[in-house]
Amino acid sequence: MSWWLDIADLDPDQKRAIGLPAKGNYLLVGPPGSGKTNLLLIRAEYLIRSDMPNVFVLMFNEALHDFVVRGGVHYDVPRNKIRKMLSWEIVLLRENAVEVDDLDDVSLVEKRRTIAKRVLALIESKPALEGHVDCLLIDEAQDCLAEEVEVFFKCAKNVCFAGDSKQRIFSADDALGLVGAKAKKIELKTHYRISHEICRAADAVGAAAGLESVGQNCNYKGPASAVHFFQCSSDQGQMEAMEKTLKIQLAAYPGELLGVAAPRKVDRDAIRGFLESTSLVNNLLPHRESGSDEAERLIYISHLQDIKGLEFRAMHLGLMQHLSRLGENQKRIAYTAITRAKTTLSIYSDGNIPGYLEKARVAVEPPKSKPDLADLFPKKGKK
Amino acid sequence: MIESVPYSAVVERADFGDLLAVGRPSQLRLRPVTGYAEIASRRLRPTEVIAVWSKDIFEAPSHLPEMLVCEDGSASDWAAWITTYAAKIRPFTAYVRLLTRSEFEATASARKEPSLGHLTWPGVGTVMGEVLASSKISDVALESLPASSFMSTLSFAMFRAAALYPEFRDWNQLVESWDSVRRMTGQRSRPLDVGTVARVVAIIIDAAGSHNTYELSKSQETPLRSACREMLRTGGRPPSVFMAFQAFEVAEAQMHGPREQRVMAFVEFVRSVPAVSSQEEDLRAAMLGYLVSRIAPGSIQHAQLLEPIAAAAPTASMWYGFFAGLAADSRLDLSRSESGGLELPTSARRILRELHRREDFLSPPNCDISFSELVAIGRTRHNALDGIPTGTSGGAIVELAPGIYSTVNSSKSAPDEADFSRKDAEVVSEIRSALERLTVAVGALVEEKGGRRNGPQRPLFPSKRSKR
Amino acid sequence: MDDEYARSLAAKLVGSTLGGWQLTEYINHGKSAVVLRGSSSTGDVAVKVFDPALVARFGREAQLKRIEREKQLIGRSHPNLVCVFGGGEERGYLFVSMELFPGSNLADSLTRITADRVRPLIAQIASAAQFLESCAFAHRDIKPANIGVAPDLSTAKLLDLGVIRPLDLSNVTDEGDQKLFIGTLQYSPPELLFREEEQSVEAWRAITFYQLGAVLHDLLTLRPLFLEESTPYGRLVRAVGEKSPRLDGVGIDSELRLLALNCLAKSPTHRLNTVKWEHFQESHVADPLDSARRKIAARRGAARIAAVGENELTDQVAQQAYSLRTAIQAAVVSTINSESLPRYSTQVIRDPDPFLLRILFEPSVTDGLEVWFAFYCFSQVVDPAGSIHLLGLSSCVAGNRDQIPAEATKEAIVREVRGALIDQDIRTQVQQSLILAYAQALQETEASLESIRWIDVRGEK
Repeated sequence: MSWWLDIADLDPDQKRAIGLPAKGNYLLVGPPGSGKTNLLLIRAEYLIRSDMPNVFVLMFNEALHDFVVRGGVHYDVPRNKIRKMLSWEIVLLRENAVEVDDLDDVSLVEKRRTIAKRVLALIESKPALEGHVDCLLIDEAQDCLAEEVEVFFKCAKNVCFAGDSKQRIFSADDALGLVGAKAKKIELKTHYRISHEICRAADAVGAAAGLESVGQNCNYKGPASAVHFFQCSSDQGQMEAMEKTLKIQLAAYPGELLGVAAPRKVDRDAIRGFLESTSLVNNLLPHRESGSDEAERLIYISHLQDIKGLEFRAMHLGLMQHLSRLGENQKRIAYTAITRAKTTLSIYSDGNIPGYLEKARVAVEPPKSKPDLADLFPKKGKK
Repeated sequence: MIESVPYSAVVERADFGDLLAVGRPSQLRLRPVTGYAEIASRRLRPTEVIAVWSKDIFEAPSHLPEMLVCEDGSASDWAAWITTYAAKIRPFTAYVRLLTRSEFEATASARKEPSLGHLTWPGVGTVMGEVLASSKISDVALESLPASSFMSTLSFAMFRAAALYPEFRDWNQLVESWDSVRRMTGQRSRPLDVGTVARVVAIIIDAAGSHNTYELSKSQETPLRSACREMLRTGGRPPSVFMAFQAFEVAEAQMHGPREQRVMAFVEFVRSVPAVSSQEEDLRAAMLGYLVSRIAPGSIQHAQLLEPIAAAAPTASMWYGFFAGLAADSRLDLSRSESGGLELPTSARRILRELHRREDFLSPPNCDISFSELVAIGRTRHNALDGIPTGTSGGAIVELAPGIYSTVNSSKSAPDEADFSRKDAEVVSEIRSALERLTVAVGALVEEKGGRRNGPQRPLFPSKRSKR
Repeated sequence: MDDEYARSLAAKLVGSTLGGWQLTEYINHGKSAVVLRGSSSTGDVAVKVFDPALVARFGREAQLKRIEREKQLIGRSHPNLVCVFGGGEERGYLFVSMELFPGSNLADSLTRITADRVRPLIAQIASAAQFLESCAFAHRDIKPANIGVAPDLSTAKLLDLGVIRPLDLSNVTDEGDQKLFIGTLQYSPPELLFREEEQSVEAWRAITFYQLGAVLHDLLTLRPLFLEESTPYGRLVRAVGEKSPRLDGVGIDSELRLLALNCLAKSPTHRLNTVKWEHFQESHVADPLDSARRKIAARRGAARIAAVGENELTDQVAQQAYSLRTAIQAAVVSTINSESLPRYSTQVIRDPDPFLLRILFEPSVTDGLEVWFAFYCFSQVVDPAGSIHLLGLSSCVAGNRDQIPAEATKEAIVREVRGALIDQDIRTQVQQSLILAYAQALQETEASLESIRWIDVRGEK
């Protein structure tokens, strides 16, 4: 994966971000592709080198954590410094003999809240723990709970958050607001990762979800981009089209990660099963792993909720007729999935896609010349 | 280059030992010659050389001369003589240059600041292309290869000659020297034959102007030569010679869309490229290289697309490198790299550093041994480098002509992977497996498309691998 | 007439006089006449003598009528039009005497034409054709073989006025050659080929534009129009009727290319809509305030919509608007990236037709941009049936963001291009305008700017 941050080619916001002193509390906010996570990890590198060894990067998102730790991107941050947020807290509690194994029955949000409260109680009882970390760097801060934000400020002498309010999938407290009150905010307006065409598709969906435009601040610099909508009534046909495009992309974008995602786990498994039966089998990353020691494994397969924070040169969203099964959050999920693509986005369905996704299609596809009457009426009784 | 000669003297063979004696300058019977003109015009007997110092030897008595100038045609004799009788300082050309009178005169006209002008990045790209063509390594590894891998190429030596001398003449001699150095030192033979590489580089160098390389390319004017000239002038627009091929024109027209489309257009071109006569093989290879370079202009990352057709178009990756460099350099939007910056691998700057390195002929040489001495030693040994100390472990720098270097591998342990140290070999093997995979993927594509149409539309370049 | 016959005819004539000119030597010959050098005390001329045998076979009257027409141009001179001195019939020979032109014809010297010569040469030929029109004539056979170029390629002259035709409508009946095809098929528009031309000044102008476009094509590509299709005859007829010549070769000036393509449009209406005489002259710049023209085109477009059927046309508009939009966006992004312009934001103000994109650059200390800089790209499908589009580009600077309007206002200095625009035109126009405007924006300082200032993006020479 190529490293986008070229010191010779930084915009004013990024320059401010890399110019921050080692000490202090900061919040980096910006749209997908604005380089928040990169800046956060590079900052960790810089802090460790400037003799602040007790530094942790905390990631909320497991997939992204695995991705970074497994070397999907190359950073000079020791792997044990990059932690999942919850497990970092649990380790801290265990080290101080606080019970944590009694929370299996509760929901994830409940569990997180309880653990954060226990950490706060622990610090209350052991003041030495206050500020015991030189710096905590927290990614995806928009998904933090209020208690967790408090934990970070208590445990660390310095904190640095990165986040984007638009990407908030899980309903949670207004973490960015809480952090913003205590930290200096650096706003990264411009983003570079996602192509203009993909932004257009994302904005069509984003508008339906009440999000503001990402296209406006797009300064994409990569290769020529395209968004394709494939329509095929059979799942098999969709997956065959996907296979063909993936093969070309392996040659067109050597060494770059390609993403495949589908709405539900069952859809994901169907696609994985199919691709494993093709000659692409040696190119697939193992299940739930986003990095591999084998250089030819470049295709990451997941379901839609599980790809937040990741980025792919080309993204394939398959079996999208099932998107409507995802419930109330589906627009934001679709938006997030679309914004995972950097250059090429391919969306496959049997034609029955939700209206907000249809808007994305209209926004990017050339208008059809002579509409077939049959296309004007939904095909009834056919699934 | 050499503006003044501080101190020089004619030395007889009999007195040669005094040159090497430490602290005994008085025993050297000096017959001083002063100034460049006198050295250039002084007739020498076969047993005489002119020693040239950059410092007054009476003030720095332990100083070896920087240069020995002998009569034209007597260099190999002198090399043999010194190697034999002054074995103590072997290889003496690591410390003292041995030049013929003509070479000495040529150094006078050498550029103070070596420069390739318009050929700067295209030249660097061609060097990278030769590495790709010669080593079957993927472009992904170009980033991490050591500079010595690039400096071992023939194109490096030729571009260095073009950069250093405004009007280099001994092209044939240079190519022969490069080839014999590799043979004498037991280097791995490369898939691209030396004559082919020389021809391609000659065409490129000639197209840029100043140098006459006709003796190497065997003809005065070919369509390819004029195509190159046209492209250097226009900054890499597709030349009319290429556009005359309909298949090329069709593929070129596709090179503006997404990369997927470009890859498909290239694959289609490979399938439909018209059969050409053997004289036009270079032209075909150049077209292939050009089209691959258009997938991601200014970068070298799609060499694996040329892999399946390497047998049919062995020089295609050299052309790929050339065109990638041309695009990296160009101000024209048509061929310019998408991001506007230099997209060549970082090692490009390292190659450039070596190509443009200043050469001070009045300071000790930068090599481990010169060509003439290597030849002399090689006549009595199986491997001329045996027992010759070098500056770095595993590799030796040979001076092919004054200021023109080539690196060779001197380690005995890995004769087959001559160009790479062990650490790099790991990189290479890693990359190779990636390459295999991509080759299969692209090969499958070619077959898949070919399979549907039968009969006369058979692929011109059949995939090297059979279908999995 | 073959070479041998021409020389023998010339040999008979040398030494005699025609129209007061002493015929001294053979120069060359055409299909129906030989050309000799004629001398007198005032200088030398070219005397074109028609083959008496052919004249007899095809009608002396018709030929005399043509000569009479040519003679109408005596005394009316134009630097790029061959000068006619006299003509008539003497000793049974029909002849015309005209200026002796020392160069060769363009068809023969085509490959020597360098890129910088194209504009002056076509400008000269066009001005000669326009002059003829002002004299109420149409040349009808403008082609490289009928254009003389000076040995140094600096000047061109339109030769062979043998087939000129009066534009005066009352003269239609005197056409003795109605049924004959006049002009050279390879360089003729379809309406002339199929004898569908209307009898009006505009109709003949459309034909002239086509032929000028064909000459321009040859100048740009250095090869004759429809060369590949020139034989057999049927193939050539089909090419003239249907084939759009390709001009997207390399190194071609985009303005001239667009002009040639618009000239070579199959539909005469399209030609008249997109080509004006002044386009042939040095780097024309459309008058940005020419709203009248816009209205005319819009009305014409509307009329077509009524005629063709609304749905079909709406589809065409949508498709062409889509292509315009994608081409504009691609051009903007590629220019910004390849020129390393500073950070920007974009806003689609109007969509899809007309389309208006505003690109806004904020002040950037490191880039030396001290002011806000906005670049506007406007496009509209003017005539979907004829694929005629309008591209408008303008740019402004302002001291603060609020001063920058969403759309270019009346004071804006606009570069406007109109015609069958393809991606390459849009790329070139956008790139030039944006770079020019940006370079000017860099000169502005906040102190020097009291309010918004519009930048000249036209790039006049």
